Amino acid sequence: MTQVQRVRVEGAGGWVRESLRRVYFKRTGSNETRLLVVLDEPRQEAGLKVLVIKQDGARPEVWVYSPDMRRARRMVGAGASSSALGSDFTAADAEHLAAFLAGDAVRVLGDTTHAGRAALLLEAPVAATDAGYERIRVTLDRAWCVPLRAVFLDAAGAAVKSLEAPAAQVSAVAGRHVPMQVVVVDAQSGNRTTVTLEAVAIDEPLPDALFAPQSLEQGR
Amino acid sequence: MNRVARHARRVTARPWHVLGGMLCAGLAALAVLVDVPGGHLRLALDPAMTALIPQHGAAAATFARARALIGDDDLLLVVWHGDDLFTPAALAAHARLVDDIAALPAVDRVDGLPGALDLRIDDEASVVVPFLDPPPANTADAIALRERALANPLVRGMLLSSDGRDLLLAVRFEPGLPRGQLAALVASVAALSAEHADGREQFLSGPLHLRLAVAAALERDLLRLTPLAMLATFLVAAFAFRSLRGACIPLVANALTTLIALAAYTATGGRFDFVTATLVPVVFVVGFAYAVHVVCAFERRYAGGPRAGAAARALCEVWSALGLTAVTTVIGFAALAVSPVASIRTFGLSAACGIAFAWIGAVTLVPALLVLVPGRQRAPKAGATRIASRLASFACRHGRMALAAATALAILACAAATRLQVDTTLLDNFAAGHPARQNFTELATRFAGPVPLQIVIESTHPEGLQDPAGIAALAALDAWLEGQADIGIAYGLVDYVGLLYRALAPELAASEPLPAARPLRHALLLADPTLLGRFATPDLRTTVIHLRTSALSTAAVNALATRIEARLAALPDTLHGSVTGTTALSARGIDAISRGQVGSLGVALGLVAVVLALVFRSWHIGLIVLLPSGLPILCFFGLLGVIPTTLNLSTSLVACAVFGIAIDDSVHLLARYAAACRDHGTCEAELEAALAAVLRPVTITTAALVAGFATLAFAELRGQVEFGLLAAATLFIAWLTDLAVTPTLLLRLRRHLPPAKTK
Repeated sequence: MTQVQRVRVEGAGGWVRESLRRVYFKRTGSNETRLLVVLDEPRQEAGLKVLVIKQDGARPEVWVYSPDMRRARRMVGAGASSSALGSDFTAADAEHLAAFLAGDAVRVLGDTTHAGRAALLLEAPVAATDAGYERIRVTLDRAWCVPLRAVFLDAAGAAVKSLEAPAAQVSAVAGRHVPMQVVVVDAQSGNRTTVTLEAVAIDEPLPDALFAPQSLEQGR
Repeated sequence: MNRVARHARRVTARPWHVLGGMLCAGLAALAVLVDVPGGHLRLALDPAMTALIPQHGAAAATFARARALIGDDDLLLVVWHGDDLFTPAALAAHARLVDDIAALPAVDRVDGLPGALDLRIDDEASVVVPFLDPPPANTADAIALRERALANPLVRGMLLSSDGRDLLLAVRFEPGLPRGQLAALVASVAALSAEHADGREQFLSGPLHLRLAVAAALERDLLRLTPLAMLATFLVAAFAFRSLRGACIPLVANALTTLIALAAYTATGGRFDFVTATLVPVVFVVGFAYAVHVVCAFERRYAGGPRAGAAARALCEVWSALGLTAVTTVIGFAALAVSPVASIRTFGLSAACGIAFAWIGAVTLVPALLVLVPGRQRAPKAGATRIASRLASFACRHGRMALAAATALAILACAAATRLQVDTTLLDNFAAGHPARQNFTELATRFAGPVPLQIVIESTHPEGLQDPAGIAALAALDAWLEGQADIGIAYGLVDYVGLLYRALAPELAASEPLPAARPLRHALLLADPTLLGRFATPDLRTTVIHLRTSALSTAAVNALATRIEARLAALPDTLHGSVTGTTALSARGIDAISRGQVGSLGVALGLVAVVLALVFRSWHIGLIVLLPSGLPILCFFGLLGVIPTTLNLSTSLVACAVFGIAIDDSVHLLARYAAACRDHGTCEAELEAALAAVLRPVTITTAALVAGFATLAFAELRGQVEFGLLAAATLFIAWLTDLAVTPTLLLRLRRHLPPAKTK
């Protein structure tokens, strides 16, 4: 899968930060996925590449390439695996959400409607103790099987973060429904991150070499 | 019959009603103050310094921004000491301790070696993971970890002593916790530390621990010494009056009104901090004087037979003077309501309220008790009359000499006061062998500095901290800070970004220690949002530099803050910085309070002068009566200049308490003198009559209160001892001034006194 994402972060204080990034995703093995993010804008940040190799049940392996150091480097810890690349929706959040959708601890809370659409209300605990939230509650569109809303709840039931995919922005791409816009609001900072897909391609063949650490040093 | 006489008649005709009403109020006060099922007093002690910190203005706003970033900076520090700390077992126990403390309710964060970032760089990878994630499996790994920790500038001196024999944990609690909960949490942390340390040497310390220890000692002193002070006051009054009536009535009446004032203070949410802790003695002191004046007037008037008439006449005699002194004192204390510091405002308004209660007690309960409590008729005190006569004669004949001596004393006091030092050291409140002091001193010697301070740096525009020039300026500031002798460690955004930069581009970092624009942005993009959030706001506009200093006294902290702010002024135009934090602001607040006492007293004296001038229709009177009240206060400041005691949070309140008494005594003398002017012919006779009426109550009050304050010499906290002894000494000076100087001044005021009203 390939996406071109425009990310706009609006701070509670009125500041705005925008970036454009290419995201490549591929399942490279039975229990391995690879994610490559290439930053194109703003100009001062362009050229940063982050490759995340994730094997089920293991810590993600993160490779980072910066044009100034001219070689890819494996990074362990220091936030590299949970880095948000400037937004409030971290890789760890995405991972917890993905684990939610794939996990078997999901509890169906009932039927609901969201933005006039029939949906299921689901909830599951988060396994990680350092996530900053204990549960995720998802409103899943029945027909599209797309999460229209996800709320990350703490022990007291208060929303720590929320993710909203406007139904009007859900498009069919290669026979699948894809939210073309996602809005994440961080309750603590008050920041609002809007991720808009400017282009998306599904099932497009991506060479394995694209996801090799050595290839980070080549091309743009 | 005028209104005063009607009131006096009502009170003395129905003494049981008055007593019943006051006892009901006293019982209600007890119900407020005592938690019967819990078996404890509901007095709330507030060891936090927040009450001493301005709540509004630029400094408060900066402090709020710093707290929003880093949380509460009132740290509890846990120290483990030993030669065997870097073994797999000890480090695993240390990590478990962190987990267990973090799991306690209301614990915000625990910083220690287990969570500190350990940077390892090799050809293949950069590893930046917490030191004890996971704990080392064998001794060789543990020793290697020790070496890395000692080489890490964010760990050595802060979380690990420079000889590697002490490990430190910094525990932050949620802000605004009540003292009881904080004390319970600290006890839980102590128990957990002892359990996990498994016999290793360990102790608790830090600013929060010290403040809780001070609060506990303050509570013990309050509960132990207040009854002792009352007993001393009672004994002196008993000796002076030589009757149960004379000794008990002022004590009982005043204890009851102080109890009611205390209940009102508690019921309205009042807490006792380092300033408001003196509220009870101040209200008791002033109220005691009111009661003694009524009792003395009664003794002069009572010639046997029914007591109601004598009590009513006594009340009429002192009514004007008591009313005037109450008004002036209430105004003096209420003037503190304009202070920017919440604690001072509370103290001023509550003291004014308490004195109003004391006045009500003096004009209702005291006359009622005088009617109810039988006693022998006292022969007129020939001794007092004789002394009054001599004093009046001295004032008439040698008044100039007295004034010259007072002037010389004032000049000497002013000269000595120039040597006075404004400084408060919380630690000095404890004796050298006290565990709280020993632990804090140990901590200061083993680590880079036990006292936290923060510097808030703000850029003029969002993302200003992504500017390499800004980072370079912060790095230069960091280097300057670490070069200061009284700063043990300084760390902030530069250190975290530097760590990420070294991890991201180690080869580049080796040649260029500070990142250029793009690597800097890349380092920030790769930062853990939670960790980055401890150093900078999400818009990268504001950052906090954390300091640990060895400066323990407020003067040292303020001097350091001034030095830092001078250096901050040299930052580029796009960056502005200021020193903040609980310690910095409370140090500034405490010294401002101490210095502000002079200003507050000035305001109080000014207001009192206006009231007196209005009452006596003469500015001369208003101003001159202040002189005998000002002299003892000048002497107090002079005394501070020559004895090894500073003007600190405790001693600065002496002036307030003494002012309340001194001005009252002067006003009593003035009121009696003004009344006597209408009845006598010669100046000496008028003065003698006034002195004869006032000398005894003033002397009894002074003696009793000097004894009461002197009992504070047995306090656990040095600040209380200093407060007690200095208050006793200053009260004695005020008494001497009232006898030797005030009569002379009054003689010179005679032509300014209003003529008697024609009936």
